[in-house]
Amino acid sequence: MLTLTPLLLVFPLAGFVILGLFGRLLPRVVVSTIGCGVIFLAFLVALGNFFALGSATSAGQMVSNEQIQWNWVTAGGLQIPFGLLVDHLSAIMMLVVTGVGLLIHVYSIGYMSEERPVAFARFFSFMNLFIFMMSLLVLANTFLFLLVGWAGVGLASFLLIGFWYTRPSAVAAAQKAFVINVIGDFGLMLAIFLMVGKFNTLNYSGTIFPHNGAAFSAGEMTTTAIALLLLVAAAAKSAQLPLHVWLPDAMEGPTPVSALIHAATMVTAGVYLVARSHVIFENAPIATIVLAVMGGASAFYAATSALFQYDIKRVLAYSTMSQLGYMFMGESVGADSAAIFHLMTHAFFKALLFMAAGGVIHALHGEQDMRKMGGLRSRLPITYWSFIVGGLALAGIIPFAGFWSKDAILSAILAQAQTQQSVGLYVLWLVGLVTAFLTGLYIFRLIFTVFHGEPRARFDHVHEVGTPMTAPMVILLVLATVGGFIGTPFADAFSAYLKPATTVFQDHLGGQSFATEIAAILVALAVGLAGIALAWRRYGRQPALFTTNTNPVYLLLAHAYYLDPLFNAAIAQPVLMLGRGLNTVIERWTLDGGSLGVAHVVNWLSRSLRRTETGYARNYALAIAFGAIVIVGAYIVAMSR
Amino acid sequence: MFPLLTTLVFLPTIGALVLMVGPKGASRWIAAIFSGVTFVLSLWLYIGPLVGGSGTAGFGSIMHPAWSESIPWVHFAIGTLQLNIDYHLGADGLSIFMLILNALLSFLAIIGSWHVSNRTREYMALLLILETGVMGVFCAFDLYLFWLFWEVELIPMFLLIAIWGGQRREYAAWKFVIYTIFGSAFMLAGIILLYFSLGAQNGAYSASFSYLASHQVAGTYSIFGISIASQLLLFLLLYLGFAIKLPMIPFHTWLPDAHTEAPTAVSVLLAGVLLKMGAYGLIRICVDFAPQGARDFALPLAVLGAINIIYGAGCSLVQRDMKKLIAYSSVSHMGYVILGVAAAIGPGATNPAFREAALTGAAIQMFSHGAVTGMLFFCVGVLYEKAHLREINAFGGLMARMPRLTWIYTFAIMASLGLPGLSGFVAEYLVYTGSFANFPAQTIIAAVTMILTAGYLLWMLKRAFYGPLNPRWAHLNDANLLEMAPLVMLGVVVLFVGVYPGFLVDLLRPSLHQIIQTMGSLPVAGR
Repeated sequence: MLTLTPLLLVFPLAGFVILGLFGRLLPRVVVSTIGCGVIFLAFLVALGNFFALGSATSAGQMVSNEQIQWNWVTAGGLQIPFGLLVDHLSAIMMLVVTGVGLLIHVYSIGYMSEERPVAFARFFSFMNLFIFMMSLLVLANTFLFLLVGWAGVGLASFLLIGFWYTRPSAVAAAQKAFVINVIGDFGLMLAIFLMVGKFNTLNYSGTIFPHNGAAFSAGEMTTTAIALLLLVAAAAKSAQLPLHVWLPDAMEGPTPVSALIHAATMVTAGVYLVARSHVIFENAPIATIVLAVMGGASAFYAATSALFQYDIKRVLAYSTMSQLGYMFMGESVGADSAAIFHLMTHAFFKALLFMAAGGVIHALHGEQDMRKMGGLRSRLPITYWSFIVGGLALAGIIPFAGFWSKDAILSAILAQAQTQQSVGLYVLWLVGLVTAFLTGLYIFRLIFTVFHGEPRARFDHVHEVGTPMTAPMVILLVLATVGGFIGTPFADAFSAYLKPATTVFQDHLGGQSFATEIAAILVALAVGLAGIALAWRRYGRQPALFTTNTNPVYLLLAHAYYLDPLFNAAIAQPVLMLGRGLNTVIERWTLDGGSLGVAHVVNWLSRSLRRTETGYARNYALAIAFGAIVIVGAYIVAMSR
Repeated sequence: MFPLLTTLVFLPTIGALVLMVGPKGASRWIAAIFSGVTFVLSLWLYIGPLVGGSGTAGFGSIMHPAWSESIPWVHFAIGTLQLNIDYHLGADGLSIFMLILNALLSFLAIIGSWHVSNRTREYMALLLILETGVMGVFCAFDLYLFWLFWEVELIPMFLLIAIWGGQRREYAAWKFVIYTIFGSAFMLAGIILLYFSLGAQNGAYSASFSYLASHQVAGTYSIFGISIASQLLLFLLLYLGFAIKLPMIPFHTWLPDAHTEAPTAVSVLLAGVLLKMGAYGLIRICVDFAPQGARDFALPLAVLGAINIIYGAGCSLVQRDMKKLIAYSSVSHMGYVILGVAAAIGPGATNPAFREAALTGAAIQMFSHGAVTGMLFFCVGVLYEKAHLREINAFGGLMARMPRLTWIYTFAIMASLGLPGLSGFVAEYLVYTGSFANFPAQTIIAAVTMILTAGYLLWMLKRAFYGPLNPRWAHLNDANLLEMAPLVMLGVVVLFVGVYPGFLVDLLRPSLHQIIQTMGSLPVAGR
C-alpha cells in the first residue's frame, strides 16, 4: 500500500496542470469533478497509508518506509536526494490535508458557483496546487524538499489570497502574506545550512531520526541556533507573534481558502515542523522556552484581539492564531501527540466554523460585518447549528472534539509544571486557562450577535446554502462532535498510533497522574463555560451592543495592539527609506556623480592642454629649447653628484 | 571533423552578410533562420559528447575540452621573446551551456524583435554580429583571441543602443562603451603581463588556455618599489574588466542606464549573456589562471558579492521604472555569482564538496539569471510596445486586459525571487549552502535579501498588473502568440532546470571539478 504514496503528489499535481492549462475550455461540472476527484483519489491513498502503517511500531521502521529515492543534484560530494517518507506523523497529516481538503473542495463548488468559468477553473487549479505542495511538505524525507513544499504552499496561499485580483486590499494582503512567509523561508534555509554543515546531509534519516547516530548534542550552540531558526520559520507560517500580521489580512481570500489554507492545513505546517524535529528541540532548552513564550503569548494576544473584531472572518482568523498558540504550548512541554491531536480536531471545527461563516457571507451577498447581521438563527438553521457545534468545540466544552485535544495539552503542561516544579510552566498553564475563557467569550459573542436578537440590516433573499455546501458542513459537524473520542484520557488511541513517530518525548514526560488530568479537565471546562456565560450576559440578550467606545483598553484590543502600524513604521518604512537613501546618496550622487566628475575633469584637462597646441612654430621651438635645457641641466646635476 | 565551433561562431556573421545583400523585406526571416540554425547546431555541443559514449564525463574540462579546434595564427619571435597566438576554439561544460544559452537567447531576441520597423535590416545584422562576438568569447581557448572577441562584442552593442534606444540612448551607449573599454584596457595589460611572465618563467610562450591553466606564475612584481604577489596583481588586472561587465559594485552604474535605454531584445541579451561574459571570465580566466591570487582576494570578493546582492535589492526597492527595477535586480542577482565564486576559492579549510556546490550554484545562476531576466525584459518589452510607458505607477490592473502576459510575468517574478521548483532556487540554494561554510556573515546578508527581493518584485506585480484596471489602459490587447513564444520557451527552460537541475550539474561537473581540485592543491591559510 505504501508504494502508492507518490500518487498523493501525482493526483493533485495532475489536477493543477489539467485545470491550469485547459480549465477555461472545460464546462463547470467537469472542472469541479476533476478538481474534487483528484483530491478524493489522494484521500483514498492517504487512508490506505494510514491503515497500512498501523502495524509498524518502532521508530527504526520509519526509514524503511522511504518510498522513492531520486538523486536530485549531486554537486561534488554533496548529494541532495528527493524522497518520500510515510511515518505515523505524516500519515495523520495527510489524512487531515486530503480529508478536510476534500470537504472544502466540495464546499467550494457551491461557494464559488457565481464566479466566471475562467475564474472557477483557476480557483480549483490553485486549490489543487496547494494540496500538492502541502503533500510535498508533509511527505518529504529531507529538509530541502520540506522547504520546497514550504515555499510552495506560500505561493498557493499568495495566489489564493489575491484570487479576487481587482480588489486592492486582497492584492495587498497577498503580497504581505508572501513577504512574511519569505521571512519564514529564510529561517528554514539558515537552519538547513547549519544542518548540512553539521551532518553533510539533509535527510531525516541522517539528521533528526535519533537512532541513526547523528545526535544533536544537548545545549550546544548550533543545536540551539537550528532550533531558533526553525522557530522563525514556524512563526511565519503558523502566524505566531511577531510574524502573525499577515493572517488577519489573509481573510481577503475567498472563504474556502480561509478554511483550507488559513485555518485547517497550511498554518499548521509550523506545528508539524516542530513535531517533526522534536529531537532538535529536546536538545535545545533555550529554544523550548522561546517556543513556550511564543505559543503562550500568541494564544493570549490573539484571543484578546478577537474580542472586539467586527469582521466575522477576522474573529476566526485571530481564533486560529490563538489555537495554533495552544499547539505550540503543547509542543514546548514535549506533548507533541497532544499538539497534533489538537491540530486535527482544530482542522475539523475550524473548517466547520469557516464554512459556516462562508454560509452567512454567501447568504448576505458578501457582507462580513457583524454589526449588520443578527437574528439569522431561524433563516440559516444548518449554519447556525454548525456554528454552535464548532463554537462549543472551539471553546473546549465536553464532549466536542476540541475539548479532548485542548485538555490533553493543558493537562500535559500542568503535569510538566508539577514534575519540574517550574513556575514558568504554571504561568503557561494559567495563560492557557485564561485563553480558554476568552475563547468561549469571543466565539459566542460572534454567535449571539450574528444569529440571535433582531436583524440589524435588511437583506433580501436570505436563504440557506445548497447541498454541495451543506453536505461537507454536516460531515464536519459530526467530526467536530465525535472526533475527539479517539484521544480521550481513558483510551488514547491517537497518541498510541502516533507513538512510533514521537517515541522519545513520551519517555521524557513524567508519569501523568490521572488525578491531575481530571483536575485539569474540570478547571478548563469551568473557564470555558464561564466565557460562554459572560458572552451570553453581554451579547445574548442585547446583541446590538456595538456602541463606539473610547476606552483605551478597548481601542488597544480592537486594533490588535496596534502591532500592524507599529511594524510598518518601525520596519517597512525604514527599509524603504534606506533604499531611497542608497539610491540617492550612493547611487546617484556618489557613483554616478563620481563617474561624471571624472569625465568632467578629463574634459577640462584636455581643453586646457589643447591651448598649448597653438600651431605657431616659434612656440614649439621655445618648448623644445626649454625641454633641452631641462634635460641637459638634469644630466649636469646627476654627473656632479 | 566538422568544425562545429567555428560554424557556431561565424554562421551568424554569414547571416549578417546575407542580410545585407538579400531582399530587404525578408531580413527578419533571414535573421531568424540563421540564428535558428545556429541554435539547433549548438544543441549538438551537448548531445554530441553524450552520444559519443563517454557519458557526462565527456564534456571535459579546460585541460581536455570536449570540443576543440586549433589553427596556428600569429607566430613570431624576437630574440627569446615569442608572440604566439593561435586561432584556438574549445568548449567544455562551462562553455557549452553558455554557448547554448547565447544561441537560444539570440534566436529568441530576433523573434522578439519582429515588430522593429526602423532600419530592420541593419538591426538584425547587428544582432547577428553580436551573437558572433559573444559566441567567440565563450569558446575562445586562446587568451588573445578571447580578448579580441571581447572587444568585437562592443561595437554592435554600442550601435544597437545608440540607434534603436530610448530618449537618452547616446548617453547610455557612451557610458556602456567607456566603462567597458576602461576595464578591458586593464584586462589587456593583465593578459600581456601573464603571457610574458609565464613565458619568461617556463621558457615556453603560449596563450592557450590549457597551458595557462596548468602553469602558474610565481613570485612577486615590484611596481614603484611596492611589492605585490604576481598572481594577486594578475587577478586584479584581469578581474577589473570582468567586474565591470558583471557588473560589480561600484562599477555597475552603466547597467541601469544601458538597460533602460536599450531596445527590448538588446536588454534581453545584455542581461542574458553579456553580463555572463564577466562571470565566465571570472571563473574561466581569473580563477583558473591565477588561483593563488584568487584565493588571496576571496574575502574581499565575498564582501563585494554580498554588498552587490543587498545594495542592488535596496536600489530596486525604490525604482519607479520597470526596466530600471529589473536592472538593479540584475545587479543583486549577479552578486550570487560573485559570492558563489568567492566561496569556492575561499581560504578556509572547507570541505571541497561545499566549494563545488558554491561554484556549481554560481554557474547555474549564470544560466538561470539569463533565462529569467530574459523573460522579465521580454514581458516589459511586450507591455512597452503597446503602452509606450514603463512607469510602474502609471499602470494598474492590467490582468483584466492581459491575463496571459500577467501569468507569465508572475511566473518570471516567482522564478526571479527564487521560488523552489524553478531555476533560481537551485542556484541560490547551492550558492548559500557552499558559501555558508566559508563566509557565514555574507551568506546571511545575502539570504536576508530574499525578503527584500520578494518585496520589490511583488510590489511591481501588484502595482502594475493586479488591482482595479486603470481605465487609461482599457484598450490594451493581450500578448499575441508571437510575443508569447519566447516567453513560453524560456519558461519551459526555467521550470525544467528547477525541477531537474541534474542535467546542468552533470554538464558542469568536469569543468568545475578541475577548478576545485586546483584550489584544493593550494595551501590553506592558517586561521
